[in-house]
Order: sequence, then structure tokens, then C-alpha cells
Amino acid sequence: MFDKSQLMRGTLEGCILKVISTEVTYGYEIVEKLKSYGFQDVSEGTIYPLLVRLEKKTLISSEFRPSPLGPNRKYYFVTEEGLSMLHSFVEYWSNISKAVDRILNLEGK
Amino acid sequence: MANATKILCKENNEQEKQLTKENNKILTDIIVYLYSSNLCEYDIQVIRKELLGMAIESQLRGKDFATVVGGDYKDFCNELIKNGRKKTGYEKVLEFLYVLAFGIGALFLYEIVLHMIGIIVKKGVNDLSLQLPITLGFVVSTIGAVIIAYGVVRFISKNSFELTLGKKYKIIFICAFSVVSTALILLRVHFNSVILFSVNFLYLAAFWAITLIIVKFLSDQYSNHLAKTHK
Repeated sequence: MFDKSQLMRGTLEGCILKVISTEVTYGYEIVEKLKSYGFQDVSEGTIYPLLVRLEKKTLISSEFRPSPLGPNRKYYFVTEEGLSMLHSFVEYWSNISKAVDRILNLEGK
Repeated sequence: MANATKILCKENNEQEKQLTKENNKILTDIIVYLYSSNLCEYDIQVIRKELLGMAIESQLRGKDFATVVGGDYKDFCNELIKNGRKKTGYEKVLEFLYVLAFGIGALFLYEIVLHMIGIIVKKGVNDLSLQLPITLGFVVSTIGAVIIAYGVVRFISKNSFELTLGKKYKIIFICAFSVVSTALILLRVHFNSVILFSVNFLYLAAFWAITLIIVKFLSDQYSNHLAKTHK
């Protein structure tokens, strides 16, 4: 069976960066957005360690803000380094996805 | 001096009261497991604060926190451990000294009280002296107790998920703990008549108090440094 986790991890980091770059947001909202674009298996538990990693690499930054639901929420925003990393990801993804598509469309002779 | 880790821990303890029993159990297992890792203590409390927020929000939305975290808690924790800030050698030394100062200090206090009660019962109040005989039994049992305490904490934190789930682990743990504790008590009794040296317990108490103050000051200082440099 194909192990999705390795492929998912790198891809999700790029997608999370993209989501955060469009607006300042928090964990649950990121998950909902990812789900709405087709990442059905994603939960807050999946993205939380990735957010910790992105923050450690200073690609994103965060602050606690009051929440209408429960305690203060951690809101994330993208940094300059994050934007630059997102740019590289988009470029690389575009190349790799085309290459993978071409290979997967190969017909046996 | 305020200790940033302790302040955050206190805040988290307050927030934790809002959790349901099931969610509290999940979160406790996760945090206990994280404590077995090399993650620095301040960052564990930050993770705890964030997970508490997630759990409380999920409760308010009527969702299951277990689903929010995902099925495999250990995997989730290992991902956090891989990505988090690690303890430095300095933090490990401070932690070790803190445990040692508290642990051995408490055992000395117990020894002093026991010794005084023994003299009062056998000879009366007039024979009380400030000299405390340090026996081989006390030294052996103190070293053993410190090692066991450290081992118990390591075992519980490393196996937090298994201990919650399985009866087998609990039985093994209780049996092992009982055997080792009994062995220590027997060693204590057996070597109690071998006096290594005597010491004035006021000097001992003063040395202990100074050590505690220094270690606490350095720990507080380092904890605040961690809080300032947390990303």
C-alpha cells in the first residue's frame, strides 16, 4: 500500500504557507480550508506539528488573540522568509507536478 | 524572581479544569509522554497551552478531541518532539541539581526527624544533640531512592499511553516498585548500625538551604531566558 504520509508532509507545509499567506488565520480555520480544497484526512493534529516546525524555521510567526469561542487563539501570519519559501515551493511544485503527470500518463508499448 | 515555566504551568492548570474527563486524560497522556523527551520544559508548557485551547474549542463545537488530534497520539507526540526546541546541557544539569537538592534534602529532613524521635523515645528530651549520625543504611537507601524516583518518573512518562490502556503494564509496574522498595527498606535496616560519620545537622540544613536558593535562582533565570527566546 502506498505510504501517503511522506508525500503529504512536504506538500502540506507548502499548502499551509499558502493558506496563511492569504490571511492571518488559526489552526482550526486552516484545517477547514485545507479540507474544502480536498485534503479530507487532515486534522488539527496533523497540522499542529507542521505549524510548530514552520514557526521554528521562522517561516511563520504567531500571536495569541481573544477568541469568541473558548480561550485565546493562536493566530499565524507569514514572514518574509515564509513568502520566499512559498515562492520556491510554487515553482518547484509546478515543475514536479508536470513531470509526474507526464510519467503517469505514459502508455505501455 | 518569577519563573516563566511555573507561571505558564499554573495558568494551564486553571484552564485544564474546563476539560471533560476524557479530554483531560488524552491531554495528560500527551504531556506526560512529552516530558520523557528531550524537549525543553518551557516549550512543553507552551504546547500544553495550545493543545488546551484546541481541546476546549473542540468541546465547545461539540467535537471529539481524540478526532481532532488524530488516532495515533504517540506519532503526534513524536512529530512534536522532532520539531521542538531541545534541552541544552545546562538545562539538564540544572534539572538534575534541582531534583537532587529537593530529593536528598527531603530525605535528610526525614532522617533528622526520625533520629530525634528515636532519641526522645529511648533516652528522653535531655539527651537531644545536634549531631546526626550518617549510617551506611541511610546512604545506600538515599542513593537507591533517588535512582528509583528517577526511574519511576521515566517509566511512567515513557509509557503514559500504555499505562492508560493496559492493565498488564500497571501490574508489572506495581510489582517491580514493591520489590525494589522492599529491598531498599531491608538494606536500610541491615546497614543502619554502620555509622560512617556524624555531622551537625544545623550545618547540613544551612548547606541545603543555600544550595536550594542557588539552584532555584539559576533555574528561574534560565526559564525566563527560554520564555524570551521562544519563537
